Amino acid sequence: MAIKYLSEPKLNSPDLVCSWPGIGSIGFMAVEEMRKHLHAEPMAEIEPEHFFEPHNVVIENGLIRELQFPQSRFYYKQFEQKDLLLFSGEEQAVGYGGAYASGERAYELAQLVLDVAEKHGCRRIYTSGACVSPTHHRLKPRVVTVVSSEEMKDEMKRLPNVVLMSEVGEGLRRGVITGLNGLLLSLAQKRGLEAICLMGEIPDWLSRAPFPYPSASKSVLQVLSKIWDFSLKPDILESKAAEVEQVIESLYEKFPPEMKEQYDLRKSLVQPGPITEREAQWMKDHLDDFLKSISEEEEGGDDDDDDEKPV
Amino acid sequence: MMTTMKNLYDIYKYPRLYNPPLVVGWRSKDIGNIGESVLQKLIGQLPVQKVAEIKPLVFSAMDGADFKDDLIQVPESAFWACEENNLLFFLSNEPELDTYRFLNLVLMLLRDQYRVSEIITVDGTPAEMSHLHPRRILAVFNGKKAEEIFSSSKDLVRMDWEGRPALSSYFIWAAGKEGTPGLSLWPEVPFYLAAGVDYRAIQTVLMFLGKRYRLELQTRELSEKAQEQNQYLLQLKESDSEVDELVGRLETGTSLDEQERVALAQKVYEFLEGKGRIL
Repeated sequence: MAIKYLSEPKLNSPDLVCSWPGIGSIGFMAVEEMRKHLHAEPMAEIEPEHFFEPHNVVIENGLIRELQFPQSRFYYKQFEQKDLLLFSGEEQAVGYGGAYASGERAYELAQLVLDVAEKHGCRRIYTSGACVSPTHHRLKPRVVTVVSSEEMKDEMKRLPNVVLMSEVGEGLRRGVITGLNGLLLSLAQKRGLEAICLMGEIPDWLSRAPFPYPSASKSVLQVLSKIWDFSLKPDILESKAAEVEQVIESLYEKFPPEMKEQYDLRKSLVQPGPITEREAQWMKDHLDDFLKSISEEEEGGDDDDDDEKPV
Repeated sequence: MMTTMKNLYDIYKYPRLYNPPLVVGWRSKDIGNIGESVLQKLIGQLPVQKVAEIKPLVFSAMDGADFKDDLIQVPESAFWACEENNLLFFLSNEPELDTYRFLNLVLMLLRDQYRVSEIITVDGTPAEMSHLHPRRILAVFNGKKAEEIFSSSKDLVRMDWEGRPALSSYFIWAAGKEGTPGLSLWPEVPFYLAAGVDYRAIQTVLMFLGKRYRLELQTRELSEKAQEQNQYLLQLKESDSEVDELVGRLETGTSLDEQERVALAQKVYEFLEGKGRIL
């Protein structure tokens, strides 16, 4: 297995920002948008055959033209102060029976990413994903962070709209960041690199939705723009966010009154703080029933035009 | 990924040790946080150096990263040597995969690199007791040789138990097969302190090890923390009549039923968490 280089620029102490798809595609969409916005140049690619199954084949006139695999690519952008290395993986290297990366394949993929990063002088790694939290979809998603050293906590808290994991919900002191977005952090720290995870908040009831959550991606992107000091167009990700918002609002309108009332309590808080365990459990119990009823409604094949389907 | 035994560990230094005893603690959510705390106190107070490490990610599910108090946690399985007292310490995350392979790797290093003479593991065990009672140390030996070596310690109470083995039991059993005497220490922890830190139990184990290996260990800080914890529990008892009644019954040696145990543990946990006294 190898890295295929398209170019080998000389980079000035870059930081690496990585993402793989996950809940709400939050981190992945943020990094992809950042790449496009900055017109980052392609640099290298991890050869995919060892890690992934092909997902598409193009056959023309009886001949295989192309076998397509999920891509895992590096990009770079040079800035005055500090350069940027971006990594975007279209898929996590999944172990047996898993939905997220695990096992030897994930380990090897993560090590390869770090090999490239260190080769180009990276001393700090960012990954990005989702933080499932007791928030309301009408509140601006915060960016929740976990870091590799005490000193970095203060540094990250100085960024607007960034909070520590312990400040979210019931104050989550212990937990797991699943998949490659988490594994990369452990391995980076093991190599003596600084590691930070930036996670856009997503309301708990939307964490299983089959569509992305662009408003959280936008929050993450805004934080990244502050770190690298570049400006963002105010309408970035706006059209995607509006599209998804429409779907979310339509689902929200279907909440039973009691559930809506409980859920809207979160909206009244400027910054959602601790929700009691009883309230969280109540929400969870009613949410399962609600989602099941929505799913049964859709399976019923109602021709009613007012029904919205998830994007 | 082809991994031979050699790929699975790193040796950093070759300490001057002569058949040292080994003390082991597991970095996990163990009862009362005894194992990790005892090892950290020993490593913190004695002149030690990190001499070797097993690559723990190989034995991890590699499905993400743990975090605690906003900090990424990296699994570690490290050996620390104290030449001055001829002691070896092993503080490690519990393996998630291939446990037997992990233990064999550890035993190989103990045998070939360090020629360890005896092994002591440290855990905690929940007990239906009041926090005001002294902490007994329950003991498990891995064979006759271990009994002969360790039974001179009068502070130990032999354990009787049947069920799924903890990692420590598995480890000393495997060590016993190779002829290395092993002892597992299980200090009692009042069940309602199991989710947090039992300073008194940690102190008790440190005093046992200090006596056995003639170590000058400072335990005053632990004593102060234990007293502070007792004060908090007194506050809770005074403000909550249910807690007062339940702890009172434990103090007289009376058992609680399942519901009462759950209620007491929950209340104590929430109260101490509010005081910043829970991990």
